[in-house]
Amino acid sequence: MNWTFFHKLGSPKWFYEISGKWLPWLAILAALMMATGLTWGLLFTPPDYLQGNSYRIIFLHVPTAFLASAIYVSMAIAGAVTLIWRIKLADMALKCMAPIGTSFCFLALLTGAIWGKPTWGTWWVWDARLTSMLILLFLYFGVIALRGAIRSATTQARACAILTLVGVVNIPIIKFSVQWWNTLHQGSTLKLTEKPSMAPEMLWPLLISIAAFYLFFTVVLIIRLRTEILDRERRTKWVRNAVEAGARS
Amino acid sequence: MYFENFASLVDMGGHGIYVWPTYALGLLVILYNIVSPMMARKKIVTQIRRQAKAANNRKKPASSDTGRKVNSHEQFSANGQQQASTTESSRTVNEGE
Amino acid sequence: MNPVRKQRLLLILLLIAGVGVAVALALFALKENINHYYSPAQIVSGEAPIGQKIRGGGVVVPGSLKRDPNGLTVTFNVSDGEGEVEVEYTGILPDLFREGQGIVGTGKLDEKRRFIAEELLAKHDENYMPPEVQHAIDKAHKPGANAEGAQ
Repeated sequence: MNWTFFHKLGSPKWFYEISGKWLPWLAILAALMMATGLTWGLLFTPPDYLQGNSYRIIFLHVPTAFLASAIYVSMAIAGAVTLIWRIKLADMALKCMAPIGTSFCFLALLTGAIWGKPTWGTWWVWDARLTSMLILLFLYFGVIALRGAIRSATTQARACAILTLVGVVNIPIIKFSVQWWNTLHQGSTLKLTEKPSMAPEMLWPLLISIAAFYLFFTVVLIIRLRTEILDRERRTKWVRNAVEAGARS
Repeated sequence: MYFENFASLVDMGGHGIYVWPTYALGLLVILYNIVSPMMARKKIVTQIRRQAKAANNRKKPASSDTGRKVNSHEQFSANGQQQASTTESSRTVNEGE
Repeated sequence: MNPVRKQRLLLILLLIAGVGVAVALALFALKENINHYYSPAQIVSGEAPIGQKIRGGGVVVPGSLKRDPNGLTVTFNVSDGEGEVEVEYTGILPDLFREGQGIVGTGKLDEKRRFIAEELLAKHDENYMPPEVQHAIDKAHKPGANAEGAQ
């Protein structure tokens, strides 16, 4: 196995240069997809037979909920890479993903609560799905707080990686909560092996919104990671040159 | 559009009071994720430029006191992170292998 | 793979496995507390305690809804296909309360095993479709009757 490619991947300078080229295109694509998905869903879909127009919240709620979990899993992977291979870029990625994941997890919980009021009749219930998502939010806060509390760079990296990995057990719980326990939250509409239980005119804007949010996350991560690289590598010549060249993004 | 007029768009069959604030919150979170990274970048870039300028100004006086330069760099490191050395390469650092 | 790194990978996997086992055990032990939910079949069979706060629910049996003319009290039956329980509730019904749809409530059983609900919530499934599609499905299922659907 050619490990040199893998190690090149861990070069902050390489990442900075490559990402700089891709960023504008990814950003434009993300903006277009986000605008399309959300406008289509909010304004151009029919209402649900049962829930009426409140279901339109789904176009924000599902993408952010998916991403809250997916980002955490990515953080766990970055944490594992940090601990096993000690690649600095992995720790930088973990640090940069955390605030994005936190904001999405927060939005998922909030949009869910608002949606719950007219549908279920309550803002909140301590069922397995909602409780495990709330735990995820606390895990996110924990990782961010832990980083702030530690001075040494290597200890920060290891502690945050370990906390993230310990918390990753929560992710399958979130996913399977609606099957394992009797929850108020309904089961999955989008399934891996079965047909989705959603009409196509609603399904397409939902899928576009989900893809848009994944792409948006990638763009935001790249921007944050590039800044983090400049910060940590500030004493190298290439950073000084890049900054002097007036790099915008 | 599904809605026939502006009034029904706002009201959404009584659910507008839930849908519109939700989308407003969504917009806020999206904006946060755009503005916060850009502000952070601006701050770091300005900081690095300032440091580079200060380093250049210090270079001008004839003294070649490289020892002192290393110390003031560590002083400026904003995150309190201990950088191993100025000759640290920007590639992977395999510690204690 | 470098043996040091392999060892670290193993430690990480062990850590996650360890936490996983601990959490699984905790959840298993707390199952009774988390899942204080009794289905109609369980209530009928006597599994559910009387006088204690529990959760119960089921699908609202069509035609069973009766409103008290003097107040907000309603009674209706819920079923899970195996047992049927009478529910009494005083208060505003959730928006999505429909006959043929699911509900979940917190409350107590009285001596006659009627569920006196203090809080009532509507459950809905994971299906999303426009009203026309629902009407078409209803029409197909009840060829002779009025296609009133879930409205």
